[in-house]
Amino acid sequence: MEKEYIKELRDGDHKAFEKIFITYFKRVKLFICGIIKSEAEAEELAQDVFVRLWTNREAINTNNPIGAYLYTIAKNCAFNYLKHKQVEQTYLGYNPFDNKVPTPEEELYAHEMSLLVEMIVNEMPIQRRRIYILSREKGMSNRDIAEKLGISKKTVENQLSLALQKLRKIILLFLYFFL
Amino acid sequence: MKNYIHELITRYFSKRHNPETEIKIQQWLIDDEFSQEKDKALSQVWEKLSVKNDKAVYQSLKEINAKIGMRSYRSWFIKHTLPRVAAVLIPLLAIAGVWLYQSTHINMIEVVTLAGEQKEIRLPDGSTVWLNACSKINYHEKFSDSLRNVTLTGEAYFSVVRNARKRFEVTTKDITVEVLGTQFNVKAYPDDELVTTTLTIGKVAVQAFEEKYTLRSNQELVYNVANKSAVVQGISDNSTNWRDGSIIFNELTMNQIFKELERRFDVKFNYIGTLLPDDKYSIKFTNKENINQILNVFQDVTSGGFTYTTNGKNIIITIK
Repeated sequence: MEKEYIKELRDGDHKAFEKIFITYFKRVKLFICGIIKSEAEAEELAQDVFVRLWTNREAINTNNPIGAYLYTIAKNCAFNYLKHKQVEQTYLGYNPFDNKVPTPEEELYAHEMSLLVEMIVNEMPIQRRRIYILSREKGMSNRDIAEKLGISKKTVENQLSLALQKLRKIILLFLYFFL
Repeated sequence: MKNYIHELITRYFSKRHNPETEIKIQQWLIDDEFSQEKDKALSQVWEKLSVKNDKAVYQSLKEINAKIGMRSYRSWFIKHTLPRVAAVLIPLLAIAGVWLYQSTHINMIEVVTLAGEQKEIRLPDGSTVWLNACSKINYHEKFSDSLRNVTLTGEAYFSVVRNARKRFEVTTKDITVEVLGTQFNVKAYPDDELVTTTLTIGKVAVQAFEEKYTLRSNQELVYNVANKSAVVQGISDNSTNWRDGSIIFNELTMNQIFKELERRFDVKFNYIGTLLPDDKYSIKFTNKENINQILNVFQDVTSGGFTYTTNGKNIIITIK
């Protein structure tokens, strides 16, 4: 079924193009939006993907599923957009990645780990996030944190244990692949 | 490790995150390291996306046909698709009509903080705003195509998602701050004489009275409402730390300090005698001190220049 559409598309059949468009456009747009996190730009880029599909139709391999082909173009479009954005930011003097250190062998996955932890920490309620940061990133003792925030030491311990519970799952997964 | 990268990518896809975190992950994504594992995880995300078509797809189709110089096949459409979709399309059009009608009435959102309160707000474009005490912001439920505008009274810290095609603008009574994407603080309380814009990183433009100023990293612009003059200076201290509960006074008179304390602690000062002269004070409270501890410090600093009695939220200051 799909194979026929691809053949027709390759032969320049616009009807087949519309069919494929209606089946895949939303997926392409959602996928790009998930990567670049901007809906307006995702619409633009998703349209570019299909313009490319149409203009390069003669080069399509009819033996491969069209979904895989669209996935590849969509991914490249999104990645190119991000690369472009990065260059632009560096040019404007705004570069949050300046402090990126080259990763030594033993810290191979540390960067992935810290990104995951950052996402999870950001999802915590404000109080818990504050306590976690004071404890793990600033290295303060539970007693000092309790004093600083004007709460009981017990509360600090409870909040920390809740925070660590969430992180433990991921850290275990991490260790599992290391040891 | 593959599961690990998979976990990172699916979590990233599941929703919006902090703007800074999103930028870091995007940077990691396009890095060539582990590109095979990333590709595998991404293609799994692609497969699992749950997709539901809506009328927007047909609008996009129209746009794309215009781009590739084709028109929809009307005869094909009428013969094959129209009878089947008519039953769906007619109610859909009715809904679209209602939606169009409503979308011309875009709702205005207002967020207000009371004295002693702070709030964290996520804007429609994913930018984040931290609102300090006694402040208010207004913005449209959906930003326009060319501009993201927020109106501010009081103090707020902005972390703006970068979008070069859509300027971000903060309007206050006396100044307007324009950015493409960065982090900055604006303090514009209606009863303060000074309006301060503080920039942590990047670049912003500030329109004050009839002049336009450009700020760079670690600079602030202090605009004096009374005599309409502006000064650009380096940041001597991180005055945007109020978000973690710190209270920082930088070269302020007692009058200005007491105003700030009223906002931060939800108290009201009544004065017996006139407030102290124009001496300026710089002082930091970073340990969650309460109002009494702070007033005691100021008593010491002014060498016992005043005494105070507390009566609920009212504090009577007797100046010696």
